[in-house]
Amino acid sequence: MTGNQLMSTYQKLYLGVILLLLILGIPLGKGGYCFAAGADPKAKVLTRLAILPFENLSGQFGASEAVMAGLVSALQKEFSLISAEEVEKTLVELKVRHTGFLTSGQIIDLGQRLKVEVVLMGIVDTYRQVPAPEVSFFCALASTKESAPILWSNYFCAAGQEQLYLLQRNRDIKWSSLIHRVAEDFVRSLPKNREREKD
Amino acid sequence: MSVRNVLTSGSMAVIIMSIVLCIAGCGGVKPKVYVNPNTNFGFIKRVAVLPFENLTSDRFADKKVRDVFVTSLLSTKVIDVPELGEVLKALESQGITTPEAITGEVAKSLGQILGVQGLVLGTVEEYAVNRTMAGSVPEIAVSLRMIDAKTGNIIWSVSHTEKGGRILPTVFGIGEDTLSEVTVKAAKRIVDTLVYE
Repeated sequence: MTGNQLMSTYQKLYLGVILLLLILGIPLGKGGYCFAAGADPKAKVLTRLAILPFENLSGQFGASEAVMAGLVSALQKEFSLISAEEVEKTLVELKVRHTGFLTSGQIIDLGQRLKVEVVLMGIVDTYRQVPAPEVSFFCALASTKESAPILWSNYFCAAGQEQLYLLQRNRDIKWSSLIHRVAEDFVRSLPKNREREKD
Repeated sequence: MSVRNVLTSGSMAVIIMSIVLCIAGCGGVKPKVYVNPNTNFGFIKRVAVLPFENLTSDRFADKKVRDVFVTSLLSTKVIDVPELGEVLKALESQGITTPEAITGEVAKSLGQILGVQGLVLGTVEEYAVNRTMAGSVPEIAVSLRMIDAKTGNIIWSVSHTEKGGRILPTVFGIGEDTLSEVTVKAAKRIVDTLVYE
C-alpha cells in the first residue's frame, strides 16, 4: 500500500468515526415524551375514577374527546370508570360549566354524587395530526374528600415524527400509536400505592 | 500531506465535532433570579399560583404555561398548590379582576383565605414557534414573582427565556423541540431557582 493509499485509508477511517459519532451521539428525532413528574399520592385506595371532560385549549375541535378516548381505553384496564353519561349528567345538575378550574366544593360535591374518591381533570394544550402527530396535555387527580387536594398531576407532551436527514429516513408515527403510547405512560405514571377492591 | 498531519487534522475534526454536539446539547441560559436574602423559604409550604398575564398572540398561552408551572412546582414535593378554582373564587371575593391589582393588603387577605404563604404572579411574554429560513424555533419567555402573603413584599422574582434547539435542527435537520417541550424545560429551570437555590 502506498503512502497516498494509506493516507486515504486514514481519512476514510476518520470520516467513518465522525459519522459514527454523529449517528450515535445525536438523538434520533423527537418521538419521545417529556414528563413533568407528579406530586406524591396521598390516597391509598384508587380504584374508582371519574374522568371529567378535559378542557380544550388546542384550538382543534374534538381534541379533548380524542385524547380522552385514548386515555379511557388504557384506564379501563386498571380502574373502574364512571360512565361519561353519568359524569355529564352530574355536571349539569351541579351547574358546572368549566371543568378546567373547579373549586374544592365542586370537587367534593362531584365525589359525593358520583361516589368516587378521586376525579381526573385535564386540559389539552396541543392536538395536531398534520404535518406530524403532536399532543400535549395537563392532567391532575384530585381527592373528593376534605379540602379536595391535588393528589397527582402530570404534563404529557409527545410528537410523532422522527427524522434523520443524514440518512434520509423519515418515520411518522400514526396518531393512534402515539396516543396509545401516551396512554400507557399515563397509566404507568399514576400513583402506585393503590389496592384493588374486590367487587 | 503526511500521516501525522492527517492524524492531527482528523483528531481536530473529532474534537470540533464533539464541541459542536456539546453546545447543541446545552439547554440554554440560566434564568435571571432575585431572591430576597431576608426570607426563610423553609416556611413556604403552600403557594397560590394566580392566573398569568398573557402578552402573546396565543389566546391560551397563560393557561398552558401556568399548568406546566404548577405541575413542576408540585413535582418538587415540597410545595403544595391550591386548585385554580379556589384561587379564582378567592380573587372574586376580594374584587380582584386582574392580578396586577393586588396590593399588600389584598395579598394578606388572599393568603388567609387560601391558606398559603406565598402568591405567584406571572406574565407570559413570548409563546410561539418562530419560523425562520433555518427552520422552526419554539420560544417561550416568562416573568414570575412571588409575594409574601404576610408582608406583601416580593420575595422571589425570575425572568427566563427558553428556546428550542437551534444547532441540531438547523445544521442536521433533526432534534426539533416542540413548544410544549420547551415550556416544560423552562418551567423546570424556573422552579429549580425557587427550590434549589
